Amino acid sequence: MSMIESINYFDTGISAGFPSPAGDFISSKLNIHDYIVTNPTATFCVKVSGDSMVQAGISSGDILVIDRSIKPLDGHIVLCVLDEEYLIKKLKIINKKIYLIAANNKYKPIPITKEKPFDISGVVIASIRKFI
Amino acid sequence: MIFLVDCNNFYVSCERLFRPDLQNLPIVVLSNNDGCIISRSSEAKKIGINMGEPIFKIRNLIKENNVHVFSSNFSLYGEISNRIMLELKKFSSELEIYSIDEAFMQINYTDNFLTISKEIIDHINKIIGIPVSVGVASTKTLSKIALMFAKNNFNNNFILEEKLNIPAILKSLDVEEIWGIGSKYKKYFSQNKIFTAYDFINTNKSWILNKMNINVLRTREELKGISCFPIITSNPPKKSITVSRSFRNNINNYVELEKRISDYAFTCSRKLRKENLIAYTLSIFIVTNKYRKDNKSSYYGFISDDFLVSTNSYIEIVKLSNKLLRKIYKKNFSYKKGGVILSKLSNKNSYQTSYLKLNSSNKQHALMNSIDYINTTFGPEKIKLASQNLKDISFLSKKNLSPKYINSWDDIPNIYI
Repeated sequence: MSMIESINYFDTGISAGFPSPAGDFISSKLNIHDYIVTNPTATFCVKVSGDSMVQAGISSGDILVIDRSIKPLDGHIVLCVLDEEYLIKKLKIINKKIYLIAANNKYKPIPITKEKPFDISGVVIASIRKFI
Repeated sequence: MIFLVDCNNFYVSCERLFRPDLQNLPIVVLSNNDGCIISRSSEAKKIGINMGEPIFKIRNLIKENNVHVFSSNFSLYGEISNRIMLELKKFSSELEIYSIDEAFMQINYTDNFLTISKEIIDHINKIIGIPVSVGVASTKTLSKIALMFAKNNFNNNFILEEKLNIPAILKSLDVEEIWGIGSKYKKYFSQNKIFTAYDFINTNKSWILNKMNINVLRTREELKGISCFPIITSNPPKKSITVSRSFRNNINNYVELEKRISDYAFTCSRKLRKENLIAYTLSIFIVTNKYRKDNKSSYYGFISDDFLVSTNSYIEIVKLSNKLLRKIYKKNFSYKKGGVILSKLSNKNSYQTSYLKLNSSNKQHALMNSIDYINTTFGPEKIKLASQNLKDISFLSKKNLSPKYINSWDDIPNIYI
């Protein structure tokens, strides 16, 4: 929307005095989206509830940013589908076997077996929590 | 070579994208107003649900087989489609978006068509999560045929190469199945014993031009591998914008009808503004139910008028629509459908101003932009004009609408972890 961009527009050419020395630099601004999202077409967000990932810094109510284009590796937090249900867990590979690890001692690791269909939908690249 | 990429059961695949529980279950998606079937999962096809079938006719079939039914969620499908097209552009800049779920691409940088087609399928499946099929051939028309084979192929791809037995393939194909031919010319074909695509390529040029048209001849050349329909990478400028819909219930009073026409005029203006266009001519029409048997109750009203100067103002467009409606409205009819058409479109920047309007036009412009800003930021139709339908009932029936998973903060998936 052109309107959003126009908010940051400053016209420095009004006064007859010295022009602002910052005039040439004023157009640069921080964009949160650019910081978090590197592959926009592969990225989507989910809202989580539950306490299984608290020690990884993911609490109930957080919004997670998921990137489908990143290759999941050992140690990544992933969004996956196990037996037709979504899960968010840490991916752990021990002796070529895959485990889904919760970041909360209350929950046991889940070994991935051939009995239950398993697929990784994407890698969690960020968690967003607003305080106010 | 031309690569035709087509999403498999696109709307159904979109509905499944964030529903892992529905992966292997029968699903259908309904048209606007929840009328007919417009997309089916393979499981739904197996049950015997046909394309275009009205939902009320197959209620039992749906209940007995526990088919999941979705209203169409075009804002979700549109966003997923945009993402797919952007990813496809990584394979070729010569891309023609043919429909919401189909694109032609020219790829000349490799001879290994099979590998590239597999890469496309895998890439779209990984990045977007939508299954696609790829048909490859030397022309668009042949790529459509390749796609038919790809859809039935386990790997979802098919390369129609010269080393294959193309005549045999064309012999196996009904002439009406050829892209752009259809059943229009059935009479001429059967009179001349032309039944298959192979029969068709051996027809006489002047006979085609005499009985049919130049595009039929071009199609024949394309079947021989001579390219006649190039890839069109930019959309030709729009000639008109139409918003027309059937009303959920028949309308038989003027006030209600004016609300609908105002709604359509407003939506039509929004589309016009989105394309950065201005319109010079406005037409509206209202129709009674044509299936009613008594002719006395049937009426079709159509009227056009020009603006003083081309405009893209919500207010001017809705105002003129209502003025025109008053001219064609007839009492004691019950109306089934109405529509608004904007035509003689031109680019906003080629605006010819009138000395009569200069004073107000800047204010108007700012007001219109504010309406767009509020409606795109806070949701469509947050700001309306007073003649529109102000109650928050949408004119479409959508009982089984899924969330906008990837394009609305209120609708992102909830996951219990």
